[in-house]
Amino acid sequence: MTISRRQLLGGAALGLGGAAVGVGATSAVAASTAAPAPAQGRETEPFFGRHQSGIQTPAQAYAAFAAYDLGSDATRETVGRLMRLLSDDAARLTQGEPALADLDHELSMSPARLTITFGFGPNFFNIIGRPDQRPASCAPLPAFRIDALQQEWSGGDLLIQVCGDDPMSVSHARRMLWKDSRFLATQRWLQKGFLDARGSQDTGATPRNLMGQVDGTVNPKTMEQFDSRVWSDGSPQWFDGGTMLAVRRIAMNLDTWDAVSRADRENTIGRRLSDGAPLTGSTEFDAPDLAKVDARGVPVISDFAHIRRAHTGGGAPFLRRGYNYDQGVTAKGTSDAGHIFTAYAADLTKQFLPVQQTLADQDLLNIWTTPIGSAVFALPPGASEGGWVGQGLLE
Amino acid sequence: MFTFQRVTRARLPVLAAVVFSAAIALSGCGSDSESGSDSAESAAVEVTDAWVRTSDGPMTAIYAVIDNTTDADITIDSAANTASSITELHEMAMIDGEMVMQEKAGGVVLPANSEVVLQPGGDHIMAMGMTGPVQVGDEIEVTLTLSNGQTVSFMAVGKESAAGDEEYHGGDDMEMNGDME
Repeated sequence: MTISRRQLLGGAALGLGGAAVGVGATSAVAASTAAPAPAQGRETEPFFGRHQSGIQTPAQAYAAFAAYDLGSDATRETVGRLMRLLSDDAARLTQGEPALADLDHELSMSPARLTITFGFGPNFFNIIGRPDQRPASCAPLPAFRIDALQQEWSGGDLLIQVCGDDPMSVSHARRMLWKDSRFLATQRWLQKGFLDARGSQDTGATPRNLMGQVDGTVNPKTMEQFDSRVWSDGSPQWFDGGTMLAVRRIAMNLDTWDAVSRADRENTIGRRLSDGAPLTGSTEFDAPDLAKVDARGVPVISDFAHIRRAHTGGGAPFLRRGYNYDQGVTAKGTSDAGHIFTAYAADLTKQFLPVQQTLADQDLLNIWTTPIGSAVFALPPGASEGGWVGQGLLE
Repeated sequence: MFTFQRVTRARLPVLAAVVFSAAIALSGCGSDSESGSDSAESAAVEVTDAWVRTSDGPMTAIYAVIDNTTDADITIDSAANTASSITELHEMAMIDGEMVMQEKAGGVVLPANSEVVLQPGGDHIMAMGMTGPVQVGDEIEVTLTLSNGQTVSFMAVGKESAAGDEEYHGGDDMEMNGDME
């Protein structure tokens, strides 16, 4: 791990120069003496690289997805200045360093695998005067009959996804990035989500959603799978190494789900609750046997089970990296909880949309779930050291 | 276990250039310099994390971390910048029980082998007589003239900050303005 020289030299500077350098330097020294965070808090994920972090990165415990609208002052020039500043903030914050001009140094010292990931919405490309550079699948999703979309959870010009294992550093980073965005942007929506706390489950275990289901079994795992399913190979060229993201807020009716037996819950998905194995298999990662029938000739995995529909809908695999949300109960006393569904794919139209259409047409799970928000963003490739996210598009 | 890593602090391409006044540099750099060798002189001070508070008014403040890498104290005698006609070195000082901003007599001393942090509420570089606004993300060039004869130039990036609003509250009024969230 690293520690800034300023921290180490703080005491010396006070001793040598306290009288000479006056009030400012003295207070800086006093602010720099906090002890290093424990090991887990100091863990970092890279900011610079071919791809943005926060996508292939093993999912952290907490996430904040913030969507901004860009105001009338937004041009390619001003948005470029914005992205340059935000990239600098992110490069520092993810490495446990305060952002430039941030006086709350201590709130940056436990990054705990903080990642900050940027995305551009469909209208972003019009705003910067480069509509021809919009990746083809960076467009609002078509309406599905299951949708009950609310504007307050939908759309947006700029996405900032902040993930980390410590909700304190996630919160601080989210606010720091907002402070550097507000000259040009307003917040459209903020979705905060969670998974298991770091260390409470085996590393790499597939997380559960709030319906108790193991959720995300078929995700890409190898570099080859990420290259073929997630990362764009450059269409358009500036997007090489980027990915598309669909964020959908899925409300779960946990009150009616409570009335369902465990057997029917398993039939709804086609997987066992205990370990996520398909009802035709013995471990989570066994392929489901969709042809298998029981002694009476009835399919073991029901005709309208979620995994049968998902497997037969065409499309191609993509990355899911969702988070749960829990707002307690509504004013009417019903559950207000669900899932921040995310699909990361090189091409949403080819990979995600066919699956989504099939599930929207028929899926037992739809009885208890309702999409209430939907947004699509193009996540640019990562920046190299000294560069910034979006540079290839905005410069 | 610990590495002394500076590079993480200079994410924005802060351009630090050392410019020598030839005559002074020769007299100040020891016998080796007399040889006429054009090997690069090492900078006596390194500047990182430089920023300027955004402004559309007559004044603003510039902040940075300044590292004196030499074994001798160095004084910043004066400063200049590309966004204003006048540049002064200021300090916050307690006078008659009140914190006030004033020009720093004798310049800013950089103790040997130490870093000095110019930050809101402390020593800072004051830009007065602005020639135009400084917007978020703008870069201005700042030049420091040092007591050892060197000048050091660097770029400072414009950032919004509610802190250190010296131009409005530097006198006897230290209450916060209305920009707080």
